Amino acid sequence: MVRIQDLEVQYQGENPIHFPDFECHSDRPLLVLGSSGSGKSSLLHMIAGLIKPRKGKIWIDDTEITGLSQSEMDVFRRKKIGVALQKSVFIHSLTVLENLMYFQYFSHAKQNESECMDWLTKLGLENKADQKAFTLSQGEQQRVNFIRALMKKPSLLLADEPSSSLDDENAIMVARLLLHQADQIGTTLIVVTHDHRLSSMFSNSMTLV
Amino acid sequence: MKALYLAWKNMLSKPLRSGFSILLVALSVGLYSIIFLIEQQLENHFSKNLAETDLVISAKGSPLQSVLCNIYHADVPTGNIHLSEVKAFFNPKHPVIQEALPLSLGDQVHSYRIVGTTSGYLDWYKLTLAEGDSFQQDFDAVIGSEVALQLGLKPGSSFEGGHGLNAEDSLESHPHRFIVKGVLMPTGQISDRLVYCPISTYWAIHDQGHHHDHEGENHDHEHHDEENRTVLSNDSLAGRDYDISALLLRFRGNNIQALNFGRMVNDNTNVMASYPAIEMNRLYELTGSASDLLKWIGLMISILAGISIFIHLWHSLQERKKETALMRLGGASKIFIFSAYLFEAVILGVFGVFLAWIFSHTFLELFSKTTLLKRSYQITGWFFHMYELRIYLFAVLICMIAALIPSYLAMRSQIQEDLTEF
Repeated sequence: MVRIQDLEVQYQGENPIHFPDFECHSDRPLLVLGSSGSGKSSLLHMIAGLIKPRKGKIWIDDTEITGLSQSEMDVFRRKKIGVALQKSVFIHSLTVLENLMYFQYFSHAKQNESECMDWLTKLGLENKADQKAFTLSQGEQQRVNFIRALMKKPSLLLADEPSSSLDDENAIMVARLLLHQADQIGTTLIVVTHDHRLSSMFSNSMTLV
Repeated sequence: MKALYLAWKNMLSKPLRSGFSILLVALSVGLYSIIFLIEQQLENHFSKNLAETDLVISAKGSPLQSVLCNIYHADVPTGNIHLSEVKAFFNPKHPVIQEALPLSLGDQVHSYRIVGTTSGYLDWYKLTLAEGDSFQQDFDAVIGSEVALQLGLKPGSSFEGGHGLNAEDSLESHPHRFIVKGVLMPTGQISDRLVYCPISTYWAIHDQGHHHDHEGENHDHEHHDEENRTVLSNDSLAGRDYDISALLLRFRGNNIQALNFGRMVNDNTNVMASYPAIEMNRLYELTGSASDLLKWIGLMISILAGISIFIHLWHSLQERKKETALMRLGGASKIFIFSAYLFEAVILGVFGVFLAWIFSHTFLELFSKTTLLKRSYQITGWFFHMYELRIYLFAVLICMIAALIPSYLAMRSQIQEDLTEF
């Protein structure tokens, strides 16, 4: 569960951006739509604990994360939050499988090669395990990106513009994949995007202006 | 281990840049190592072969040349001295001199120097025989272990000596054949490469002295008067009227008389006294500045190697900014990020040092073989010293210091700032 209350952010020399209050549960994934500059990425970064709001409060499950110190937030994020970024970034020198196993290690989970392979198989990437991640197609990279975020079974999954550079077919496929996997592991899903093609797939959405 | 593996993979992902850094480390450390190995082996060579000789008496000339020739057999004699000029030094009751060892030089067999001396040479150089006996008469020879090995000689074998100190420079070979009587145990010293014979053999070869008449051109040693000629001990030198190349002396003690003895000889006689310790210090001073210069060059290249590693990691830091932010976002600790960068420098350093180790020893072995270093000073690439390890550890330390700033900056990178670029 994620709850936002009276949240506001302000960047230097700019007007503050105010966000509407909302609650999001694991059974109702949330789509946050907004054009460029509407503050949707800022919202995602605040929920992920990467930037501090000017005012307001954020709860994830029973924890008010706006009251946590940076190091406490780092630990909380590692345990509870999965973030799938807009651009797929990987550890350049490692293979797909090694990348996934390193992220298991970072999240203090037991390193388990067969679990990584299961995830790759589930998302149709089993024959890409030993390739360098940067050699994959954009769609494939995006899928590995999701695996990395989902694999630690977070309470909250945040996806930033997951379909921005994909064609219609792949955009729909990616959205379905996220919804399905979030439902499978019972995680709360918040997708932040400007891509209106996804709106039909989410019953719970809000638009930032 | 995870950070180490990541560092290893990161290093491999930039082979050209990594290779250049490794090469710079290898060159700088290798150069430093070569200078150290040569210096160390020269010092060992000089101290081992000194054989506690306090003073060298020879013909007037260069004292350093006299020491190099008569102790290290690496230079030509300054000339000859007459026995009558140094007769007093053989007196067993001499107040300053405890022992004396006469030497005659000037001949060789396949560039191995033939040293004419008395029977005291075994005790003087602390030598033991591996095979056979010591010399008993003129043209008997006791050979060093390397001479035996290289020339395939053993007791009972014979060989022909030649005039001059190098086989290439030998103008003539004399018809006298030497008979090998004994082979010395290997010592790792210059004696391995020497041939010892009675000092009177030199007088026979060079037809010196006034007691012996020519019987024709053929001087077969069996024909000369052994009663008069063969000199085996210092005692039997008494009354002889011959030349020698040098006389090595040991003092009874390091008292003021001993310290002034050389100056007294130089001031009051026609011969020259040279203190090996002083001459070797002079040599170290002469060569020291050259080796210091090379060491400074090595240090400069080491600093360059350090800068190269700094640049290597700085580029990596810029290129991997997103990766690093991603790892931190995924939960990687600051220590992990710091370690991954630091380990990369350590790996570069270790590889560089390993290459330097191979390079320095191989180079030294090949170089010493093609120059006089091996022949004259027994310098080899197969010489290892614990201090080398210190040089190598120091080089890795420099690499680590060079990595400190990039590693620290990587550790301190702000996730949110780098993520805004995503």
